[in-house]
Amino acid sequence: MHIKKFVHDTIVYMNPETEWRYPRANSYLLYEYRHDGNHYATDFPHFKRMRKFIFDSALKNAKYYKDHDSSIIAHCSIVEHNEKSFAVPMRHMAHAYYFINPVKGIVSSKKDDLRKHQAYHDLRFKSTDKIDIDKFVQTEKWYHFPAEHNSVVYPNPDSRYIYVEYVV
Amino acid sequence: MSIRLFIGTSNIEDNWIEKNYLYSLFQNSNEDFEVTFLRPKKFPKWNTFGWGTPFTCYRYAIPEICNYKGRAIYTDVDMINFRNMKHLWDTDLCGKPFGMCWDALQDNGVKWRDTKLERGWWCDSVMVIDNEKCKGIVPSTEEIAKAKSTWKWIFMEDYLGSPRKEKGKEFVHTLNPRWNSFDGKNASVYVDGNSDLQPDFSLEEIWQLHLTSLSYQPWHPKYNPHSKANYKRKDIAEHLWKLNEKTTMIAKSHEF
Repeated sequence: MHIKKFVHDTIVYMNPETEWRYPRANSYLLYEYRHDGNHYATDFPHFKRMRKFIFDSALKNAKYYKDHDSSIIAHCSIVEHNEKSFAVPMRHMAHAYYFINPVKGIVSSKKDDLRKHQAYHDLRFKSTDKIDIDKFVQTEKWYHFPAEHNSVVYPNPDSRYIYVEYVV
Repeated sequence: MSIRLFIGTSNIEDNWIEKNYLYSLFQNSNEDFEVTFLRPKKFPKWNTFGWGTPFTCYRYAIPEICNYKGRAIYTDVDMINFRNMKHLWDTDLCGKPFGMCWDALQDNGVKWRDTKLERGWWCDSVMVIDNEKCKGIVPSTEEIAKAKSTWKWIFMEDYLGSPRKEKGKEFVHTLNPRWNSFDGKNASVYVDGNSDLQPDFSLEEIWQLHLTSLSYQPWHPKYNPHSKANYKRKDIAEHLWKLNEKTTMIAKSHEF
């Protein structure tokens, strides 16, 4: 099954939830690593079938790490945005996005402070470091950010994507 | 005569389980149902501050809604039915106003802690109600609407005898625990403080499944503040997701 179809089916079959990473959006938690060993994995049958494929697909594209077999997915969810939702900056773990349909852009920074880059984006200024602002995000492709690397997604009202966090 | 069923639910956050619950009800019964959803938008002036769910006290409006006539069944929304509701509807209440199951492990809070009565309470998430007999027992909706969040518990203590089961039997007929199986358990059996140790019903033994543990609810409504946890009974989870596959195709056929 194609990832795009899987995202569609998840949104159709599962109930929308809330998630601190994307306030006011509809989110669908699929997997979460728990330190007590009781890792959460939804019983949604489509995810049971697709889990390995999604996780492998996410990790094999993580260019920052050579050995994806030793990586662990710590969080996996699907997000569907609306007119009022937004995404908060991510930083605490290596993470990746797989966009099903367009977002306005991703702002990212290797530095601790993302505010300057966000401001550049918000004010439509050109960044001094163009790599850190990507307004031309492609769909159906993984975008990876290593740990300690900030990123924040600027969604469109109907943006849908998979978000994963992982450790190596 | 149709079965008058009231279902306590939220405005929209529980739509996922509503469709699955209704489908299971209709699947297992040939009877006519008169279903009324008790949603917050239908009770705009009620004081809901401190309620554990968006619909906690609406169930006690049922006798007045029915003009204190006939009988009614009330259930929470987080249910899946496995048996013809006519059997519950026809329950002989032996002249009492309510039929409920006994929840042997309900934690009765600080007031009863370290006493013999610290556990055990009538469970009002499935009720058979004789509306006429509730007159003079259940207060008017005007009164309940203004009450504090603790009202329900005080009412169940003062009028239904909780946590004294024997005392409560004057007003409450004890239903078979299969009509309110908490996540597949027999909730009427007391075991030492731990619901994990309560006996399981097999799927074939359950008449009405109550997906009561908020963390385990697969649809995780947006008002639920608890972290998600894996559903322990995989046979129940599998049944529920299979059911959901059917009901989603009916409800959202335009998506396929």
